[in-house]
Amino acid sequence: MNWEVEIIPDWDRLYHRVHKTFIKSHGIEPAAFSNRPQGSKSMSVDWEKYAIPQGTRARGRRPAENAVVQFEAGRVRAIPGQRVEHSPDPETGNRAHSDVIGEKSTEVRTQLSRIYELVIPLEQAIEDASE
Amino acid sequence: MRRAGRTVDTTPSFPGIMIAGACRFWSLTPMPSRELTTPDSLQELDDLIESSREILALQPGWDGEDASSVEESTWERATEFLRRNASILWTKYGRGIESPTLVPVADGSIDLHWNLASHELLINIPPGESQWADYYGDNRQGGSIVKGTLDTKAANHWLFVWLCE
Repeated sequence: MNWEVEIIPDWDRLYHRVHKTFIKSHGIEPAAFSNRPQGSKSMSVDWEKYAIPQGTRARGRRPAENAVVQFEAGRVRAIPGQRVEHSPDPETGNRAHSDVIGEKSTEVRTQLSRIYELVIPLEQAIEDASE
Repeated sequence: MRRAGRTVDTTPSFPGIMIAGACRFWSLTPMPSRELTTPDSLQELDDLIESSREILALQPGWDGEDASSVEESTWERATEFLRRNASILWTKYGRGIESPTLVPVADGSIDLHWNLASHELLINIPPGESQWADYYGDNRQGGSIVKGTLDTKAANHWLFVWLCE
């Protein structure tokens, strides 16, 4: 498949998996928002145009250990040093794959932890996985 | 009660103690260290440090992806930084600090995170001993910003004083 790279509108949502280690009683820790895999310059997200939150969770190696959050693309772009780009991945068949590009300093991770919305809590992820 | 322009909660958790921001005041003036006993905040910090040892048991890939395990030397640097500066804050200023969350990061570093009503502070202790820690804090409204890098071996209690403002 040779998917075209598209422009993600500012008002569109981006889905991101969050491992249970980063989920505390007061919310999600900034540690959840780092560039992956290690050494990469971006954090992977899925664009809502081609994804649903359940699909984002299912793409994890251990889905039941992950919650899913969403960001509004424009709010991510408003954080200094961050770009949002569509980067479809033919190898994994993920047309929704996109990147939040830029160093994830403590400042950036703090800002990201203030703008997420939880769309699949961990408890629900565990329930869904057991069905 | 009000002191030097700072609003202070008048409800002490026990007589003689007031809470303001992230700090607890045991005394309005510094006391000689020989007169001190271990305050609750330092005891809480010790409890946090002890319970945080569990992150040393994390195996590579603990997040279901490619996360690194946390080296004991990184954990020691993080907890020594925390304990040393909290102790200085107590002995020099008679103040105790609220305990942060201590969270492993996928690259093997450790986050110290204070998520308080008046301030938020994030300090990242990297795995390499020669690397300095990255930090960012503000008053949650985009003001009173502190950010940069710091040597975890140096005295950095000023950052804890800032957290108490």
